[in-house]
Amino acid sequence: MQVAAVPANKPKNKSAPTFKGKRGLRLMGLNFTTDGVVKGFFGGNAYLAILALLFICVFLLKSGLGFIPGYRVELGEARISGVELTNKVRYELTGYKALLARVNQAFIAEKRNRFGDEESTIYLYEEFEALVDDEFEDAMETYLSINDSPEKEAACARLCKDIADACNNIPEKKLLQALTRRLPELRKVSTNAKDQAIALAQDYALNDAETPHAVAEISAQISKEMGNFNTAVQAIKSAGKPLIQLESELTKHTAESDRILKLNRQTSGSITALEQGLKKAKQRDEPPVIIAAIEKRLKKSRGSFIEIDTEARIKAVYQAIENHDLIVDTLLIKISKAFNSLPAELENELTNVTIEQAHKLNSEFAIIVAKQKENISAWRHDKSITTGNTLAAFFFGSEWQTGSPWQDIYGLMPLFTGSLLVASVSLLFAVPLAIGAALYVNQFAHKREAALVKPGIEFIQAIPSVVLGLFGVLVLAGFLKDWSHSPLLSWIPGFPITERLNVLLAALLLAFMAAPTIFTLAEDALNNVPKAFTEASLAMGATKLQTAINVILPASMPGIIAAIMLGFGRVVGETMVVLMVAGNKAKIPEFSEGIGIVGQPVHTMTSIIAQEYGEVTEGSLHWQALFMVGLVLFTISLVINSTCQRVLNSKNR
Amino acid sequence: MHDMSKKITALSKTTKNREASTVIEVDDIGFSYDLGKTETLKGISMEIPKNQVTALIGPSGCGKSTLLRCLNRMNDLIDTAKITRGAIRILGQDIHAAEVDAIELRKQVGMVFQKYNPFPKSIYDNVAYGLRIQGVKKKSILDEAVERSLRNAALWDEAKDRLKDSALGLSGGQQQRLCIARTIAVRPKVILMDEPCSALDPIATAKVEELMLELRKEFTIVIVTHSMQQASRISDRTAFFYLGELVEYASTSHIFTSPSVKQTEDYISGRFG
Ligand SMILES: Nc1ncnc2c1ncn2[C@@H]1O[C@H](COP(=O)(O)OP(=O)(O)O)[C@@H](O)[C@H]1O
Ligand SMILES: [Mg+2]
Repeated sequence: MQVAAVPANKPKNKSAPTFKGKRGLRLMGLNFTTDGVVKGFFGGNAYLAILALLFICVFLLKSGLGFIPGYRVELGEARISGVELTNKVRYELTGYKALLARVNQAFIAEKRNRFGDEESTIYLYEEFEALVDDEFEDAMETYLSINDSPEKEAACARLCKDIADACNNIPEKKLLQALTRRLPELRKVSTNAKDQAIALAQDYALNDAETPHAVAEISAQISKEMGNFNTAVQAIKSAGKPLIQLESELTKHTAESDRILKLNRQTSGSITALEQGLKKAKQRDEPPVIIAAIEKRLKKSRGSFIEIDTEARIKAVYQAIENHDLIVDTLLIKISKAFNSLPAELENELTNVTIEQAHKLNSEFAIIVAKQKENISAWRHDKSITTGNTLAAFFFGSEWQTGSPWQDIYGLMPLFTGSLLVASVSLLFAVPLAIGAALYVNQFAHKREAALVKPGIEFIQAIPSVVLGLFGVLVLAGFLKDWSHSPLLSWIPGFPITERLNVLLAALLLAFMAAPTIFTLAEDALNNVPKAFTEASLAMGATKLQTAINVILPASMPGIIAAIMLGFGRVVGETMVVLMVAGNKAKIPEFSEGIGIVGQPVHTMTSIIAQEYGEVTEGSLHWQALFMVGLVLFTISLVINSTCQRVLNSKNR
Repeated sequence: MHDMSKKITALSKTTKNREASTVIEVDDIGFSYDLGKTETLKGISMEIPKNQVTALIGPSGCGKSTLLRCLNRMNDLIDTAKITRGAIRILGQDIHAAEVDAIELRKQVGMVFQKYNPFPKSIYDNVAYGLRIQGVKKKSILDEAVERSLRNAALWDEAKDRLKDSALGLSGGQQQRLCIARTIAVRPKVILMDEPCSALDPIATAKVEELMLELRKEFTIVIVTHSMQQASRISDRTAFFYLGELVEYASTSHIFTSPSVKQTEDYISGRFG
């Protein structure tokens, strides 16, 4: 074997090289050559990007992590004041109310089904009355804002006409009643308003050819035919009263101490600030007037501390809660008794479905009660809250409740599971679609076909997500819901869908957005499989399909996995579409429903930020909470991206 | 090294005068890469005998690989490829007849490529690949076929303890022998080899050459080579191509000792090519 000899380094030119570079411009001890400046420019840009990234990281961390101590203090206050306990009862109450609402819904559905037109007459009356009132108020407001007298008369005429116009579309006798009811008020504003109104009303009454059944008559019939149902509904309704009472009693006892604790916290905050200011002022030898002013404010702040005897207050809370178990047990018994008297199989499908849902809510309610009973008996107001508790409350908290007049609750779980659920379901659609398309384009399609399909799929990326969301909300949502009610598709679990906006809808649209990303990357990965593998396989007598599945797909697996993960990252980070179509209900989806889970509305980490950032004040706990959510999102993306890099690098190891 | 080539020459001598029946019949074949505008193969006719090694030689670009790839219809994969005239019969069957499926043809006419290309799978899975795509699932059958093929390819001793390891961990020569094992696992009638040793070092080359002489007992082998020595060492018959035409086709000893055409003589004596 021959080893090529390395030629000796002999300079070919006669003049020996000097190895000296050009001297650049020297400035401030730096040597500026053209190369150096160009290099510096590009390098500078690269470092600027890194710097921006660092800045964002630091900012996120700083704003987000302040949340934990802040939330800890709030949780502590909620515990000492008993708000935490009240929340538990309130949680039960929410479960009960959902149940009651569903039973009511079933009742109304049944009523509509049986009494169709007559039922709708009652409904119409109510609507109509509300309409007249609204119109009247509007017109009145305009009227009162005018001061000039002749104009006032004209406005009055307009007012009367407006009312009449508004009512004209609904040929009901009720108009007369509504107008007559409003007459005293009308008379105040105009002398001849009365005459006008009466004229209008009489006019109307003459036109009223058809007189519907008297409202009372229908009501009587309804109670006759649906008496049992009605009794059951009423029984459930009245059974909840003690629980409602308990909740309001607890609220009464705890809200005040919570308010005082919060006020005192503010006060102590301003005292610390003032104290620091005073110290600085003294150090700087400010004029005595200023120091005196600060001291005065300080004294005032110190005086505004509100004395609070939490121990005494909490006693009342403990006393009230003593009855809790009895109350909920009785409630459960009463509800199940009422449920037993609910009609079982009715003709109307909607009623049956709703009743079934109510049954499910009932068993859920029983579970909630059992859990809360335990929680409540174990609850102690004087156990202190640790940072660990706070972290758990944030990361594993099952409720996200903000903007409530009561206590805000920041639990990530509903958002986290929502994001994950939407993303996974969308990948379920996107992955087979995108990988299949990539395989087809790369392996089977004719060159000309590929030249058409590839840019086509990639073009999907150009659709602004808000446009896609709009399409989802206005077109696909209704279509999907109607479609899910088709008897042909009732075998699909979770169908029919009752919520217009839901996981499935969001997942479908997101799949559409993720597919091009996955497609492009997967196609690249397939393309990178050496042609020699394909040739070898085909030469063995494998078909193209066998080759694609047995050789090309496995050989490009790392690239395809990376493609799927990046697609996942894209879907998790997508905001606009989920905000518009996922339903935005911050509640952990019910996994017990199996595949039916896709019919539920959810909230996600991205859309909660987009939805709530406008209503937070800078530096508030809510503000920090949103940054915490942002931090979690950021971490997820980071993990996904670095894992992708590792997967891809492991290929070329 | 020297011993090895001696051994090969000795081996080839012993089998030289076997009676030969024709397996492949190339009949005035014309081939074009551009739908007939220009012919890359211009009417080639030759008969390739059974259980012999037939070498195709000639300067680069003369159409050796093209002819080889016509034999298992690998050129079908090129959209603009076209047979312009003539026919190829393998075991008496016209391979371009309507009822012939290229997939089935390739199961009978295997191919080993210039650059060894085992799949990024285990050694075992590579050898079992052909049988698996034919629907063989039974482990005992696969086990047996893998062992027999690896033995045939003289790779068994080196690979038997690492069957589950990636094939890409083998040396270049081993990988090429693995490709041969993969090809013979499905028991084809013909094995086409396109410069199978051009990416191998001399020792690995010698091993593959030795292997070919073994294999011709069972298979008919057509090999493209750019090495005169290789052709003379291993082949029974040699065909010399020039610019898409078959210049001379005869027994190897005849071609290398007393070629009838001047062009052939110039080529093998190294005057051009
Ligand atoms: N896929 C192809 N498409 C078009 N022309 C090709 C293709 N493959 C080979 N050729 C041309 O056909 C001629 C013969 O090539 P080839 O059979 O590979 O020659 P060799 O004898 O070196 O193996 C060459 O001129 C080459 O450029
Ligand atoms: Mg070639």
